[in-house]
Amino acid sequence: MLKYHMQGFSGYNVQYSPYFDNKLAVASASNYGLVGNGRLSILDIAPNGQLIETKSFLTQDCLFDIAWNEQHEKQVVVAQGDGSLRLFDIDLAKYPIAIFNEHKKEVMSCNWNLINKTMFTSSSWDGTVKIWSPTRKESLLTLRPTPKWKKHLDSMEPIIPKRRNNIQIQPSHKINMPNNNNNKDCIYQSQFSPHDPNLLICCSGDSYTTIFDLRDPYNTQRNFLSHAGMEVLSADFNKYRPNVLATAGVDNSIRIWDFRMLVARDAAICINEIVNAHDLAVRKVVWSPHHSDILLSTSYDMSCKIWNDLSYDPIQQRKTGKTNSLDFTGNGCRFIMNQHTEFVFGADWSMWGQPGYVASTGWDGNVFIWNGLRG
Amino acid sequence: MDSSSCSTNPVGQFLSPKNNTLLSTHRPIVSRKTQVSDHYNTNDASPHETTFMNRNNQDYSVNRPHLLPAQSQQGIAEDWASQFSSMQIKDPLEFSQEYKRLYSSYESSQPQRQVPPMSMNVAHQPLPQPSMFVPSPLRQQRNGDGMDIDSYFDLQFQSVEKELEIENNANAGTARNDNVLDEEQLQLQKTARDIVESCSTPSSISSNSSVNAKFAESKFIGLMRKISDGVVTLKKINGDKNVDQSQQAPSVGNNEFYSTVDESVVGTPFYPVDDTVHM
Repeated sequence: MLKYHMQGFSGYNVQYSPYFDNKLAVASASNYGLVGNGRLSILDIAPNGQLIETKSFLTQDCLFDIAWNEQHEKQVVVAQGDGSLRLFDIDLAKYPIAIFNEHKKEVMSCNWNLINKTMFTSSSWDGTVKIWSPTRKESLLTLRPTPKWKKHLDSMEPIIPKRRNNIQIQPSHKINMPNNNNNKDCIYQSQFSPHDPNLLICCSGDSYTTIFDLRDPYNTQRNFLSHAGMEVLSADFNKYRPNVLATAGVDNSIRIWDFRMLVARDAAICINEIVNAHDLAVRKVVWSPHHSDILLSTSYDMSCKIWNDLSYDPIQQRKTGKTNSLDFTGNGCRFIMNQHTEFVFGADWSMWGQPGYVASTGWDGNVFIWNGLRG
Repeated sequence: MDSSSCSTNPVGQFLSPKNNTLLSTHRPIVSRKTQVSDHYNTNDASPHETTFMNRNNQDYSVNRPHLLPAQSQQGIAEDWASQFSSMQIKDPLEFSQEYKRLYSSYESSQPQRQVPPMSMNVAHQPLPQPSMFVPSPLRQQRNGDGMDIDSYFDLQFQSVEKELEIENNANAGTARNDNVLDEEQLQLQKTARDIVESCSTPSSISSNSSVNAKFAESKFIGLMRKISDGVVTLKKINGDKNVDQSQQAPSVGNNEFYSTVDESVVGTPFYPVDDTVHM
């Protein structure tokens, strides 16, 4: 296991470079992302097995997410707490090469399109999803998820149950908001499909997951209630099954969905559910780039876990049942990584070398690289 | 806030420059009483002293005038001139030569004692002794101001208890001259309190989970606990509520945590970054 510690900063997300097998980018924030600076760190895996910081950029506000430019091996875009996105060239010093400033509140996520590599997306606490081109300061498109309750009950407050163990922290500029329930507008993650350049999903604090098709001139969207009223903190497309995605929420569970089964919107039924996957809210879920039935999750319970999706057998290609989160000896939970000492926020699978390597980061300021499929 | 009000030590208050005037004003009376009582401790009195004491009483009573002018209403018209002239010529209060001789003898027999002069001149008083370091109001009471000593002590204890209470509040970070928490700081405190409560009794965590052990050592939870206690809070913009925050430079926002106890920065300090782009 490799380890690197960022003194005075808390890790929010980490991503392997799509061009270099030994390079990672880490988005971090001081004071746990509540107040202060952010920092973009570029880490290299040295031949002797050590993690070395080769470059870093200090930013005015906290950084919450990161995405490598799929078209340029030296460029990284970061999501910042002041509502801007900044594109950095890691060969240059100190300042970004472009600033994209349209969001009204914190930018919670950013993601580069893996197929149409001239676009990236961002989601924000202001309730919007934006599509950007790195060559334009203005966004190409702004999307606003409007699930059924927003359309018809716009003037009413939704009933969102409170959980005692919901320890989702509001970023710096949120702590002065008078109503804590306004997390429902926050879109925690938006992501392009790895199969279709025009397909995009986002998940938000109102417990809805939304699918957009950019080809639709009317921005028709499909919303479905994914976590029974609890906030949805993460969503990800399966890399091998185009119609399958996974969501994670503050109900401590991971759910796996098939688009084709989302007929009755609010009564959508998942194809697999990992109940009590973690002791606390699940912050991130990422499908493996090497396996169609393996996924990774991080949580506020300070652990990372590797799961087998037992609803799908990649060999026989048939449903096999539900994943049991307590079945540690079988094929449910494959691996638990317990080295972090604070909330684990970000993780990414390595596409390089042997399948199974994972980089994770959390509020303890540590970046770990470990193998989740050993044994 | 007046610095004196933060001082909880009554002795320290008494010795402060502000109270030195009181000390000097009342010192002669007390010192005189104290030292005179010491001086008249006859347990170890010498024969000279005993002789002097006896003679002193007799001589003093003999030389004292029999009638004061105000007391002799009858015969004033006939005798006032002679009495007045006698007072001018001969001071009836003056000690006799015998008294002076005996006193000199007594004074010479007490070389190690600091004998107070009988004069009322304050400037001639001895230096204060340790037993004199008592709050000056107390000394006033001891010199017959008419107030009950018990009630005086009650007042003093109440005063000290109030000062201790103020000091405890200051140590808890709940009260400073400028630390009335604004809305944002109160919201942060409330959020932190909710987090601490959530993490201290998470219903879904099993009792044997390692999460509980991690929470016990979590620095983030420790910070939240300090914020909920009011020991740490957001740094205000220049500490001036009248300044429009929108007019502030980006470098002076609420970008740091600070301790309300010693006003030091808590956590990672903030460094302003220019909003510049490579061309």
